[in-house]
Amino acid sequence: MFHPLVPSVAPLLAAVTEAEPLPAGAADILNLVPLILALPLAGFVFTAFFGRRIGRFAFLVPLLLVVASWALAMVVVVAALTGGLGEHGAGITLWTWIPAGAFHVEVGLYVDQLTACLLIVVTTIGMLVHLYSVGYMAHDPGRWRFFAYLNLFMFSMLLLVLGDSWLTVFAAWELVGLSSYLLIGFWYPRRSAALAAKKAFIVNRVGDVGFALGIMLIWVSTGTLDIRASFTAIAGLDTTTVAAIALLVFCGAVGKSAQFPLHVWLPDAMEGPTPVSALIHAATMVNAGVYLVARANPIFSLVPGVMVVVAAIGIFTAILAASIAFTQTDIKRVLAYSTLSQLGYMFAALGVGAYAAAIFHLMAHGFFKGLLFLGSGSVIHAVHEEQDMNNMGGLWRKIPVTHWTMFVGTLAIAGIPPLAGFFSKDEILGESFTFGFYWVWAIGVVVAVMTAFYMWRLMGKTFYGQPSEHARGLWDRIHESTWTMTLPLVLLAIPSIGLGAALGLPFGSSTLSHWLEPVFGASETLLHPDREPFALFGIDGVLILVSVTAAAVGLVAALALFGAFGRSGARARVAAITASSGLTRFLYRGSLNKWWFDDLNHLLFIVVGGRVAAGIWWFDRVIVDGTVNGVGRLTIDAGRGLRRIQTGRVQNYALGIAIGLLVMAGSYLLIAAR
Amino acid sequence: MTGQATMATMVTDVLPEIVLVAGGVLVLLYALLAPRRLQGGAAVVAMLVAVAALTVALAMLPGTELVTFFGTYARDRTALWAKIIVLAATVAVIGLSAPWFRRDPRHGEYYTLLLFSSLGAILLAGATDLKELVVAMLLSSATGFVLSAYHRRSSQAAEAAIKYYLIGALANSAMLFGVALLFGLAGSTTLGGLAAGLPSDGGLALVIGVGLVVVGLAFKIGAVPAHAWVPDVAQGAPAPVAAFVTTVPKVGGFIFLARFVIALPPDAAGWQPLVAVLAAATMTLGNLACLWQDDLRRLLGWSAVSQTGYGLMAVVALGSSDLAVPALLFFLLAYVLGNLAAFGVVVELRGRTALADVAGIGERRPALTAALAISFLSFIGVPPLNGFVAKLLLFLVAIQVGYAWLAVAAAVNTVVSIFYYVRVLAPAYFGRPAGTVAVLGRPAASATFAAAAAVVVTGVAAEPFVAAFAAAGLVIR
Amino acid sequence: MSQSLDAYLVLSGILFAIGTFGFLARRNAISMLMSIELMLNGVNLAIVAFGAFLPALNVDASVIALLVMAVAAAEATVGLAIVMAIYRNRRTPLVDEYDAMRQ
Repeated sequence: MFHPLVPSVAPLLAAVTEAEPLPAGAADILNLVPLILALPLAGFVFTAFFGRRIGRFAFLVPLLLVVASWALAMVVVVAALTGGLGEHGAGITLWTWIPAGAFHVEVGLYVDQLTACLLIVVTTIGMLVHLYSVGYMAHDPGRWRFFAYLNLFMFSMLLLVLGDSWLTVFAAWELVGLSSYLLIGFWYPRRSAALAAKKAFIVNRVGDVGFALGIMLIWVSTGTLDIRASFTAIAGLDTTTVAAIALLVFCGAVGKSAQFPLHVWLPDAMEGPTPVSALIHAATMVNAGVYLVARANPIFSLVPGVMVVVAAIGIFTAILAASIAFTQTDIKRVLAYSTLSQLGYMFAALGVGAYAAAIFHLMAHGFFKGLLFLGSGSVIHAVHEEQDMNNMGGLWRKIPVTHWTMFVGTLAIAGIPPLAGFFSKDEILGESFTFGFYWVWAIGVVVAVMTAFYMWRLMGKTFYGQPSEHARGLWDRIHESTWTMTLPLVLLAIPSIGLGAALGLPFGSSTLSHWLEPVFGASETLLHPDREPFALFGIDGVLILVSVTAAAVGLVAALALFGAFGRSGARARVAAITASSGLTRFLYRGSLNKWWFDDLNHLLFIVVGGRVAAGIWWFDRVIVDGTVNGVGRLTIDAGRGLRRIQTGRVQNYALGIAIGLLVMAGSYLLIAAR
Repeated sequence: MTGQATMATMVTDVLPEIVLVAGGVLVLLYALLAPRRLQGGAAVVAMLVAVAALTVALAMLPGTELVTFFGTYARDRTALWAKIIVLAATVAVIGLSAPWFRRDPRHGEYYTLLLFSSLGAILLAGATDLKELVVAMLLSSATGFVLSAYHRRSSQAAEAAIKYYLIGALANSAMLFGVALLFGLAGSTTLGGLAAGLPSDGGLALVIGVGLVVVGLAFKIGAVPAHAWVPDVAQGAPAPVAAFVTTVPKVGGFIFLARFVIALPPDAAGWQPLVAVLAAATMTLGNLACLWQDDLRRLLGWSAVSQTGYGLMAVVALGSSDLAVPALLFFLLAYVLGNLAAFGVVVELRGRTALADVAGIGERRPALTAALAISFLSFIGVPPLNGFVAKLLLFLVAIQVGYAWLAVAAAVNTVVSIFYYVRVLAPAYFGRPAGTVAVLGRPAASATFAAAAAVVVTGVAAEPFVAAFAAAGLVIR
Repeated sequence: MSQSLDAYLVLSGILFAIGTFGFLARRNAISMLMSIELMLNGVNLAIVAFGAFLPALNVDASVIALLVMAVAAAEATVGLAIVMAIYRNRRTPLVDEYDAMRQ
């Protein structure tokens, strides 16, 4: 039953998929695309087989291949963004995967402007993290395995952004999950690492089931699994089906991007080596959910109700995670909750229909959060694998490169102009307001204050004030990391400073929104047909001012409490606040205990779930087995007078067959009689 | 069958079978004549025989599809693909067996039994006559019982064998009674004769006859209600034999079941819900039993039961969907390869089977652990492995013929299955290794890696296989 | 001698049922093998009866009856061998004591 939702939509969306002649030279560029994927895959296979034998220098091949992959990707990116691949991008079909009548799946790659933006983030940060890992993992005997997994991850992530059919994307979706599982549990002798890996895998599968059902629904209702073709077909479906598809796809995004209520796996995933946290759990894989929703924007735009759900879950996760980050003392966990919070911003942006702003924040966040994670790894290295910030302090003179690059990252994430985070965050807040989502804007501003506060708290506790006892104990042995670790920090600091201005100016019609216009234009016009032009000296200017003020308020508050450089600030007051009673204490304890979500999950899934599973087991053992035993006993008792004989197991099996046959014959007769 | 068929053309229709019979006898002679230290040579001879039969079967693929030997034996591409899967599996099992039985002083005959057992499965896949079914079942079962008991001094193997035997004998007798009833009702034993002669309202006799034959086949494929032997044999029998009997006979059993159900009178359509219920029961029971298994081989046995349940979804769709036959064949391919890889790992680990024994093998034996992971992930249905393509096709056909509830039940079961597979993989990768991990040797490792690689290749490049299977007919007359 | 096919079929069914019951009720592996033989005889009786009463089935019935005998003989041989093997190991023919492996 087809009744188009908005008749005027169909031609608008159809324009996205219409074939157009490719510009000259596009075919050559397209031929490079499979190579971007093939190089990391080759690196994985090679290292998996020969890595152990190569030993110390096992990083060479993976590193070189990833650098080569980056170079190729840049060529493709430049072509895609300058119109070298046509206005709506271009694709290349590799082979037919499953031909089964109407069910026909081809493995193909497709590059458009959105893909190009993701390629920049994935390949650049991927390359720098590989370089960083050379130093970070230098003393680990299993590092060949580490590099093999990293290359596998690169392949999977690139396939995810390049895939042109839902099934290919799903395959890549599973593969990134798998490599993430392997990397979180890399230090498996630590029991917590193995548990965290398992938790991540299983929580992610919950979301994946939703995504898989969504893909099935897409196929059942449109008859195609090609992403672009499905967009055209979906425009003709009834609203309920579209809403169901959008919600199911969003389920997958919630799992992978760790949004409430599936956010619990990400903080635990920090058990993995720090480069993994930077690459997978901050800069790339966790963004897959954002990418998925952005990619599916023609579907989501048809159902504004679902978009509100997306915005609500996003902004709720943002404030929830920010409030938890307030009190954590593990440096990586603070960053993990901060990642959750920033991902929440991105989903909020997607939900209000500011797709380009979400992708802008994705890119900016990828760089500065990657920087912050790698910096935290350098700090952890310096203080001899200590992650508790209470055992740091005063480190800014000892590890200056790490300190100054993290300083840049902190200002960037806090939203201080003219750094990257200011432009992207401001665009999200500004558009939420102009599109009429005042509640998203209001909560967003509060989160901005909180972000600035907890990030400066991290800086203060780590780098400023008096060194802690632990730090003083090894003061003379603390030194800056090697160049392979500091170089990526410096290289990541550059986009953290400049990317925002480069992509976000001029206000209102930024470079990035021009790039992404062919991907998001139709949806944004559909959602917000009468959009006011940008007014720097009107409402938009006021909004910018509010954003900057929010960041400044948070920073100044944290500065007062935690100090800067040589000054310790009023840390005694912090202790006083946390020790006070009443509401403050409740809030403090709530934040410290992550609002008891892990306990809730434990109760729900381990205690209650365990009971249910045990119940099923009990049913199987007692009722099913008992019935079999009982019937068997009856038969034999009847056969041998009243002598009580125990049945043997084989007889139980045989009796099962007999009962099965009777049930079969009975039901067969019943059905046949109908 | 064409009227002009002469004995000579009919003989060429069964060339792979003839190669197997002659080869089996050859291996037996070799085993009798060769001295003890050369008994291992029987493996080489058997391998050559199986490869020769495999080559012949492959060469026969382009031929026309027909029923030969006066309506009793099908020479269609479904049967040929079944032969190819069976023979490839046999080659792999011979590779697994060679190092396993090296110390057994007289193991030459073992390979004869292996070849005859795969012949039984092949005959089952081609049979279009109930007499043929009786003979094929006997050949495949009797050899299976003996193979399971091949470790004469192992009390566990003997126990597995006697359970396998007793259940098998009961199921076979039941099936024979069913055959007698159907023969009396239809007045013929060929499937074509059944299709023409079975009354659509045969009453109780028809119901019981069909039910009894289905029970016999359920034993062969390890489905409810005659599934109980599978975990015992998987755990107790010699590991290469466990790999064999949980895969090869199943191929034959499935294909005969497929032929049998399309021969049943269409207006007595009761068999479809019947098989659907059996499918749901089989997958659910197998899965539930897996959840708390601490023995890897027993886990594999129960997981084989649950996989059978998924495969039965294709049987439900037979006759109603063009995709049913390719889905069934692809499922068999995926299942056989995955199971061979998993049991191959057990063999290569010298049969160590407690969950604690696999802890930390990821560190010591990365390639072997990868084979186990590939096989398990394929069983779960993680793309792009072949198990994913198989599941996808099975779900599709179930939905196509209006059995959406079955597809949903299968999806739920798939989600449940993640837990017990991860329960093995997590310690394998993240557990502490306990000392060194001794392995068996090169032939076993090669067979295991070949099976695991095939799981990946047939998953990523599923297209030629699905296309070839789609061109396979299932003829009964 | 009865002239009704039904009488023979009922007898065959009774034989089969007695065999099944024996299989389920007996603990001794040898007794279970004998029960199987009884079931197969029931099968054969039915087949031979079909052949005798329905002339069209005469030839087929004889062939199937021979096949069933072959099945019976082969299965009994294998079965006895396996029972011997396990008896050597466990020193008992009682199958309910073969329960080292369970769910």
